[in-house]
Amino acid sequence: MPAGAPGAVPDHRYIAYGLRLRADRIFPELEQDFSDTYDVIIRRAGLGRPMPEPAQITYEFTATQAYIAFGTVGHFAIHRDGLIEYETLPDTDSGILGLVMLGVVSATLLQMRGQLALHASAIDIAGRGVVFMGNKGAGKSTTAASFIRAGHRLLTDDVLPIQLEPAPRLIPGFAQIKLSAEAMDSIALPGATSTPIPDLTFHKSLLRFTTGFSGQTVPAARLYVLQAGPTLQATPLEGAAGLAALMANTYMARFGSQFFNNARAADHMRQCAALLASVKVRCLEVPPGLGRLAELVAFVEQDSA
Amino acid sequence: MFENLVVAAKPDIAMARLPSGMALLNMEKGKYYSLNKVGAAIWERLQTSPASMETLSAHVAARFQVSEQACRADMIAFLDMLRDADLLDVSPAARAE
Repeated sequence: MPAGAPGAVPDHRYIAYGLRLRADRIFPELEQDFSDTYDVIIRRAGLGRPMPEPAQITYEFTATQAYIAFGTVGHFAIHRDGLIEYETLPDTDSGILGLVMLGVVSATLLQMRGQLALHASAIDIAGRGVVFMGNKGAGKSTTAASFIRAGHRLLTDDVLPIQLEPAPRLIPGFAQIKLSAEAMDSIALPGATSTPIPDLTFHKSLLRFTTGFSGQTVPAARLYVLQAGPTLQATPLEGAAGLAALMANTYMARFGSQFFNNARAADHMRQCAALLASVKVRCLEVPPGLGRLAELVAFVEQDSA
Repeated sequence: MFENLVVAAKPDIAMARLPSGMALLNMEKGKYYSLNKVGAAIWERLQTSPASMETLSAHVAARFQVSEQACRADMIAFLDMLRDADLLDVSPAARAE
């Protein structure tokens, strides 16, 4: 049980990222948890600071706490020992709050708790954990969806915590992916329901599904950096190139110098190097268009074996 | 260059081993560097204590089966690069060893 969380324990029970959550609001995207113990409390609270200005984006980190504020959503205090306090604007859409809470806020908590949080989607291919990283729009979610379509199971889409000791393992998130309408039309997933993301800047919908999700951790087998290109092929990213690719695709990379003070930058580099020591990184060149996704799946099944 | 001098790893440099060698982070400047296996062996030696160019050349010669003479020019170039990247402290030989 986490310390530093006085008061009644909220009773919406969920599990995500290997953490048993107790929240004071419903997160319809999450799997329910039936255990009596918990790791993290999520609750609304006054944070003792003014609500952020409309255009404000703030990230602050100490060893045990982080503060994240988005002017359009609200603000969040993240305590390493297992407490997330939030305060949102009155008209904040619950889907957006879910995206932030289960995205950047969770990634921050996971990183503070000693895991390496990657910005990636991941698939369980017959017990092997395969990771897809890449820039915005590189096709992480679309690629993940085509693997689910092919009968493999999703581990996560967006935040991927990796437990490094004793050997790297991928920790599952929850059964949801973000897909463009175009991708959703071509990759029909049985039993899935979609909800448009209200903020138009996303141009994507949230796709929740009932089968095709793996709640089990799996050993990390392969890391791919997705890149558009004419030929379907994988090329090794070795040594410093692999390290650079990995570090660029961590969740903390987005925070820049606000996160990377001396000690945290050194720890973060060591975590990435530890992952590289046992898992190979490859650049996966993917031809454009959704027509060749079956080919991509077959290629990765073989390449990651 | 580097004659009658000893060099040492600066204290605020973080290190991580890679399959290909080593990555260094100059924490003060927020800059990353990568070293191959020979560079990594030199850095590891420098972390134990300050050393002269001759000591380092002997260390590399023993580990990688090359002559000290063959090492020297590369060693000067390498130390020069480390110094430019602000990863090294350089001091007169009389003070140490």
